[in-house]
Amino acid sequence: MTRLDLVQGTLDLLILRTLSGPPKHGYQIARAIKTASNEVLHVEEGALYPALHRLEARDWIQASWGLSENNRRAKFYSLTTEGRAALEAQSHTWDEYVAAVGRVMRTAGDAS
Amino acid sequence: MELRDEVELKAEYEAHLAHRVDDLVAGGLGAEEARERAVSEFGDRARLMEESRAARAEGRARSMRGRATDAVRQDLSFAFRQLKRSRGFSLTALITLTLGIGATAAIVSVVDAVVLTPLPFHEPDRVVFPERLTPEGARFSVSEPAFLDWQREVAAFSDVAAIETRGATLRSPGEPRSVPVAAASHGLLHVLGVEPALGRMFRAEEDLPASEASVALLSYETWWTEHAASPAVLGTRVDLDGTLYEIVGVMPPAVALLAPDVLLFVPLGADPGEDRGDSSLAVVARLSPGVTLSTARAELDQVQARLGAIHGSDLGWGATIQTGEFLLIGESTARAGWILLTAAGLLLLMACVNVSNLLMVRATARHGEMQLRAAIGASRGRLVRQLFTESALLVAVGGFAGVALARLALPVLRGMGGARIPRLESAQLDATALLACVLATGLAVLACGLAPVVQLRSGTIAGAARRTSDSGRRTRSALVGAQVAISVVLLAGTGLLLRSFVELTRIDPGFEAEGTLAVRISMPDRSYEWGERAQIFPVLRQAVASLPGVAEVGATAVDPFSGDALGNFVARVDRMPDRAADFTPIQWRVVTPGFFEAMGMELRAGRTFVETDAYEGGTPILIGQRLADALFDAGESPIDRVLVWGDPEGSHMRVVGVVEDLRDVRLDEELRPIVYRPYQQIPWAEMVLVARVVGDPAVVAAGIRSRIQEAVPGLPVPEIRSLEANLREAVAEPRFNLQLLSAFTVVGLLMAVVGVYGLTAFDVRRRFREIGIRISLGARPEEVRSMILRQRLRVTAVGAGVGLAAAWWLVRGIEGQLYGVTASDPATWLAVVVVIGATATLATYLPARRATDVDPREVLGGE
Repeated sequence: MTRLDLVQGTLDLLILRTLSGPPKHGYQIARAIKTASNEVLHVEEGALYPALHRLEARDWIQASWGLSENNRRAKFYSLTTEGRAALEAQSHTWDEYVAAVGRVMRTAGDAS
Repeated sequence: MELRDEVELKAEYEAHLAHRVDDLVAGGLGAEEARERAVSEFGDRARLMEESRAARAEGRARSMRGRATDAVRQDLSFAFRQLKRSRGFSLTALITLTLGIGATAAIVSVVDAVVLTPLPFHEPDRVVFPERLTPEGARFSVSEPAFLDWQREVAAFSDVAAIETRGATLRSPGEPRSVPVAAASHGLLHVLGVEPALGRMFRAEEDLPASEASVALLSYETWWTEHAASPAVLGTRVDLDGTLYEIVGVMPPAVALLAPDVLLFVPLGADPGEDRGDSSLAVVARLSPGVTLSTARAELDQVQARLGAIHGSDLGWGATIQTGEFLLIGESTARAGWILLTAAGLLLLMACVNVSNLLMVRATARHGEMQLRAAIGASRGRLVRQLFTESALLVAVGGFAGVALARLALPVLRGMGGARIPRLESAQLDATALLACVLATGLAVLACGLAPVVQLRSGTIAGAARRTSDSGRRTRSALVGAQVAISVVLLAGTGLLLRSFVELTRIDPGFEAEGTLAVRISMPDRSYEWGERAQIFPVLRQAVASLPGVAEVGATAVDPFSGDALGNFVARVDRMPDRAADFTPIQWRVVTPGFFEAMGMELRAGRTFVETDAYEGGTPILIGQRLADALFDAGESPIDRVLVWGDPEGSHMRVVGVVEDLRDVRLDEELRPIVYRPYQQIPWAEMVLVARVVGDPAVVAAGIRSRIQEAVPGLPVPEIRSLEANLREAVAEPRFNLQLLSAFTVVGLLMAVVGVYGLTAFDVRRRFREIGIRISLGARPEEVRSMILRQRLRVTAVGAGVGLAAAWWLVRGIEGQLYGVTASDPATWLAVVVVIGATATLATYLPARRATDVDPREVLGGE
């Protein structure tokens, strides 16, 4: 499978989605995305951490230090209320976007 | 901060690496290898830290922006809900704002277009209008030889041009019809400093008296309306009075100010050999660079004096120079413009006062709410912002509605002015005016919207409420008083103008306009010989007179109130006049037999013209009563006396009759001495046929048209109208001013009424409990009512007093517009006092009455 580069906005959306469950630290988030996408989407650290820190400064996610499953100290992230609202809004937009692109891909070029 | 962030970032990266190593080890790699792999995978840590820092800053910025938009949206929706809840208040405030902003903006646009916009010439203050002055100092038009002399000799003018309007018959294209054309000298556009809209202007060689070339320019308006501004008009030909003219250009719109409603411009071909007494030109000149108006006047005087010494007919005649503003805009129009602007300003002020008042009332009502919200933690900043948003929302909606109103009002205003007010048709919605209105109103509204927050400064709730509502009351009373004052000013102005207008319409023009039809008949020189014309009118008269609906028919050379006039001089021959100063300036008219009868003018002595006057020796004339009184003493009969025409060598004329005086140039002017000359001796090229009809004018008009066309085939017959239409046009401008000012006054009065009513209602509501107690303790409702009335009316009376004083001082400014009534007319002022007194009392009485009708138990039960 080819590894696709993710557009910044899309990465934010994936992070928010991933954090809709229990809190996770940076490495867990990357792994979750990788697994959920059937190994198609590999998130580079160079993209992941700036995204996390931007989202944190934006108050859409919040963080606290804790112990991971491997008994290591890690910074755990979770959604804020605003983040949850943002996730919902952006999911809608994403669905519409996908549907629109799909329509064009199926039909455009057929008509003269 | 920086250091802590850095430490935290490093820790996070370490954690990430550690977890990766764990995974790799779990997958079977050795610890060393796993660590190596993980580190190489991780990449450049320094760069990562940079990017994270940048990302953080970006995130923070976005967060703040998002918060701000959210807050604004919240405020707006909250403000909207608040305003919706107090629907009465919001609606009143909105309507007031809309009326104030819209009306003011529309008026400012009109006044800007008509009065304030500079004339559309290049360097308009250098464009002037020299005129001749009679020996008595009356303004007079210019002859062709005089125009050419001035052009040659006056160094103060860098260039001089002349223009005159005449009628002509347009034979083709289309049906033959009578059209106004203008003859202009070739330097006209150069003097004005404008270029033709299309094509070119006449050349000097085309402007000679004996020129063969027949070229013409189309007027701008005709080009647009009849040719859709197509360039294809160049090179087309029109047949005017039997001569073909080629269209070589289109005049620019600026020229329309000098010759409105004209179809075509042909070369003037000024002839130095023309009779110097034949004056029909309007002259326009450009001042040479550096020359002042007074220098030019002085030089023109000298030149004219020189000419008078050379040519006897010009002896004693002077010259003067008028500015463009004076001639084209007119003093009275300019003054009217300022009056209207003042009224509009007052109206806007009223609107501001009104809305401020409403806001203050509401502020006091919400005082409790403000205190509560402050007590439970709302920051003052938050409260201020919310109030600001409410006021801003009001102003925004009011502003939009005001713009819409102004847009709608402008075409109505343009139509109202009729053709008489120059440049009215170009009135556009003035963006700066609109902006100024909105800003002014906005400031007022915002200032008062913040009043409740300012009041929050004070201490305890109860104490604050009492103290602030009292001081608020004084301000509110003052504001309402101001509204009453402004209404009084507007009422006074409108009242006086109304009286003046009524007086104007009551002026007896000296003829019967009702039941009189008029139609212009043109027989231009090129198509009709002198002798032919003399024959035509008797034929026409007979044809029309034989119609059953026509009682009398005659004709005159001057269409009443069209602005046309003919001037000259006469003197009694037996007084041996030998200098120009011995002559009396008069107006003269060429009329046919039947004219005086058709116009319903009274014959005071002697007889009117008859057909045989054509063949008698000597020139019979009729004179108006005023001239008779001026020239002859009480006992003398003017009949059979002889007058000299024009100058000491002029022809002799015998008075055969005296008629009632006629006003046919302006309604509000003094009666002019008039001489009537018979058409048979001077068959004028353009006459207005006048017919007194019985029965339905429309039916008779159709009959007249067909009779004329039968009697003289090929003679164009334009629109037949009633002389009443002429009379209406004569008062078009005063009517327009009056209508506008009345509109302002009505709106202003309404606003004042709302203000007074609102204030009383609020006051009464506040004292609800007090009223209830008083009634339950035995006070009669009427007593309570009258107590409230007295208190409120005191404020109104003070306001009215101030207003009356201000109005008394301000109406000096409209004295110039008044006719037949002085600025201190007692009837009008009395009416003003009565109106303001009645409306104020009613506006105070109604809420007071409602309050005292309340059941005291209802009030006390609420305790």
